[in-house]
Parts: sequence; C-alpha cells; structure tokens
Amino acid sequence: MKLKGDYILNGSVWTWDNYWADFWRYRHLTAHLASSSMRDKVRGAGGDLLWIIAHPLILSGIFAVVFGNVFGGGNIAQFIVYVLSGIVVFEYFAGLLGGSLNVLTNAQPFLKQARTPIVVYLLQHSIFQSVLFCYGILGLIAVAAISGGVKFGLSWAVLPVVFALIAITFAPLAIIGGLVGYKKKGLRPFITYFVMVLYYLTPVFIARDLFDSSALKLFTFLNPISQSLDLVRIPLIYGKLPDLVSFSVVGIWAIILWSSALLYLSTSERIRFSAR
Amino acid sequence: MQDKYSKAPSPQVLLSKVSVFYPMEARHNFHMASTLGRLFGVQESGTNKKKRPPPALKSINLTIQAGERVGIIGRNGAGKSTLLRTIAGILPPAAGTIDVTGVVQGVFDIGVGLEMESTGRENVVFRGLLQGLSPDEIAAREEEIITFSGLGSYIDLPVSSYSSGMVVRLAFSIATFLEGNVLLVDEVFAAGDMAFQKVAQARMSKMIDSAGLFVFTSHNLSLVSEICSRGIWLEKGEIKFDGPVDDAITAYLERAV
Repeated sequence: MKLKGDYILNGSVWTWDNYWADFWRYRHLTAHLASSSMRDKVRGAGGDLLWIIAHPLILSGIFAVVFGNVFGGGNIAQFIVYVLSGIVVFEYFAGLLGGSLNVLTNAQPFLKQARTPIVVYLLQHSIFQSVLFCYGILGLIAVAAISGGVKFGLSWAVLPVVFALIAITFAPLAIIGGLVGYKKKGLRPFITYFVMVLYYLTPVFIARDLFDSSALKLFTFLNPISQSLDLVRIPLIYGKLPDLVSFSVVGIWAIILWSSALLYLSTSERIRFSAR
Repeated sequence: MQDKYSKAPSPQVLLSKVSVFYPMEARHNFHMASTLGRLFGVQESGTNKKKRPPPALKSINLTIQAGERVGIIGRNGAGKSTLLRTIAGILPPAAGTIDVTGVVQGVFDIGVGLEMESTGRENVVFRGLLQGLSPDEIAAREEEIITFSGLGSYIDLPVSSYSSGMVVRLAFSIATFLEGNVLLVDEVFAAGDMAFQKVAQARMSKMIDSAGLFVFTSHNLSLVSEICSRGIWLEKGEIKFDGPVDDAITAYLERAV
C-alpha cells in the first residue's frame, strides 16, 4: 500500500536533516538500548563476559584440531588463528543480518509510546554487534600474538584500518535486516538459511585455496566476507600488506549496503530530501 | 508549565482528510507456497488472498485549538486510540495531512514497555530517554518521580519483583512527570490502591490544567463530561458528532449504545 499522508510537526516533515537531528536527540536512548542488549547477552552467557570472548576461541580450537587432522597435519597454531579470524568476522556479519530480524518486532512496545526514529532501534543493534566484534578482535589479536604460528610485523599496523572498514561495511545490515524482518516476516527463514549457506561458501574454516576453483572463483571474489577475511588474514597471519583489490571490493560493498539501507529507511520512514 | 511554553507558538492540532490503516505487514507477507503459486498462475483464495485492510480512521477533518479540552468517546475499535497515536505521530497517515504545533506528550499504555529485569530507578531513566529527554533532564526529575511513586527502597529492586500495583504506580509516576503542551491521554486515570488513586487523580488534574491543549479518550463518560468541554464521538473510524461534550455523550448514548 502506498502511503501518501503527511505528518507535520512544528512546521516540518521528516527531512534527512531533521531526521538525523531527531536521532541525535535520542543518542542516549540508542546507547542505553545497546548496553541493554549487551547486558542481556552477558546474562544469557550465565553472567560471564569472559565466556563471550572464550566461546569463539574454544570453537576455533576444536575446528583447528578436527580439520587439521582431516586435511592432514599442517601448522595447527596458524590454523587456529585462521579459523578464529573466520569466526570473528562471520559472526559479526551473521549477528548483524540474522540478529536484526526481530529487532523492530521486539521494539514495538517502545515504538507505540512516542514518535521515535526507528533507526534508533536499528543502529543500536549495529553498535551492540560492533562491541561484540571488538571483543572478538581482542581475542583474535591475543591468540595470534601468543600462538607463534603467525608472522608479526609492520603489516599489523594496517589491521585497525581493516577492522574499521569491515565494521563500517557491514553495519548497515542491521538497518536492512531489521526492516525486512519486520515488513516481510515470511522472508526471515530464507535470510537465516542464506546466512547458513554463506557460512559454507565462505572460507571461514575451510582452506582459502579450495575457493579458487573455477566454480567458486567469481563468487569468492565478489563475496565481501571472503574479501574481508583476506584483508584480515594476509597481514595478520602472513605478515604482508593486503591487496588493494580486496580493499576496493569491500569499499564498493560498503557503498552498496549503506545506499540500500538509507534508501529503504527513507521509504519506510517517509523521509524527504527537502522540506515542503 | 505554561510559563515554560509562553514564548512558543500556541499549541494546535489540525487534521485534514486523514485516513489511517493499521500496519498489516504481518499478514501481507512473503510465503513460499503463495509465491510459487503465483509463478505458476494459481489463484489464491479464501484467507490467503491479499486484501486491503479496513481503515482505522476514514478521512478525518479536525481542528483543536489551544485551551481546548477534548474528550473522544466511542465503542471499542471505533478508532479512539488510533486517533491519539496518529496525532502523536506514532501511526503514519495513509492519506491526508496532520499538522501539529507544540510539544507532544502522550500517555498511552503506561505499563507497556517497562524493562522488567531492570530496577525501578533504571526504568525512570529509560522511559525518560524514550521521551527524548537528556540524562541531565531526567536526573533533575528522578527523585521527584521516585518520591511520588511511593516505592521507597523498592525502587532499586528489579521491576520483575514488584506487585502489579507497584508496577502501575511506577509507570504512572514516570508517565505523568514528563512535559508537553499538547497532552494526549488514553484511558489513564486511576492507578494503584485507593490512597495512590487520590494523588494520581490530583496529579492528572494538575497536568490537564497546565497543558495548552488536552485530548482524552475514555469509556468513563462521567469523567469525560467532568474534565472536557468538547466531545467527539467516533464510530468505525469516522466522526459521528463533534460539539459540546454533553451533547456528544447524549448522541452517543442515544444512537450507538
């Protein structure tokens, strides 16, 4: 149904300027909701923050031992860092997209109380997932530093830029996932399925070389998670500077995802480019 | 409160040909079977067929000026709460224009949206943030709200440990200490035990007196008659009567009940 009505408050409709001004007014609420999500996460882990950090470490340790044996020997210490980097980046992606599907449904009691920009509830999920991502990065760097299976060098200096780029690129998935999950509830199982399939089509724990076969090469090249993992692993594990092509592909995905998220948000919230 | 808003433009609410539909995304949805069916030319039938939802408000024209005390009456499902939430900007209009001047303060479903695992004090902060107040503004009112609620040391316990009466007292105290000169109240008047109801009614009266414009929905017709000067009778999303409150109540009782 196309909505054509107008809500004018004190002489103005929502334009991009005053929409973000309203969001700024609710910045403390955004931070409160993000910290509340974090509290719930810690509570869900039996009240133990350390468990949240330890969980991917244990998982990657198990993967490394099992797959290290399946594919025959190799450098287990390096493989642990390889798998852990895969899990940290992929869980950020999956947490943003899959985890945001219920965000607006859960926020309904609050949205019915006052006129709040819905981006408050969507971006709080991005912030919450970004905090979890930061914990994952800390665990990854700690494991890489003590594992002895990686090459430490100046290339590590590029890692903050890489992690920031990954965080910025995937952050709008919370906006897209939140809106799709609320407006098209029937798509939720398909998105969950898509995330699961993508897990196996991305070099999260399977050796990167296997994805260079002709059948998967183009897909892996276009896959922003694969490219993000190259950006992390090449400097972290192999001590080299990452490829500019990977930066470009991830950068293009950042533009695509942010443009799509803002366009979808503007139609959902009826934000105009200029006041009437 | 009026002093605070004395330099601001007079509060006013204008609705021009406003229609509102309930959000129906949950029904109008993507389903694999129906999508495949459409692909193969199979027509949907019965309850699965995509239907346009009935409008909750139909082409409403309404002007409420500063100083007016308006009571909205009507049967369940007539559109009373929808009208208030539409004025508050919570429900988007499908057609028409809503033009509101002033600082809107809605008091709706006061017990809904509390964080049950958080303490009463944390909920005071949370609800203040939800209304767009800054932490400093909330801190300035926090003790006043807590004192009014009469919860004493319980305020630092999780809300999940409260009795239902205590939850209502907390929710009412928070909701009625927030400020605005366009006051929209949905059915909230009595809260808690007898002693608290007395102070709660006094608090509501003070809020109404200080509001620049007041719109109230209720099934309590004597209360509507007591505090409102203008009455609007809504039926199936349409205004059936708009005039002096007692005439509106008479029309409603004669023709609808």
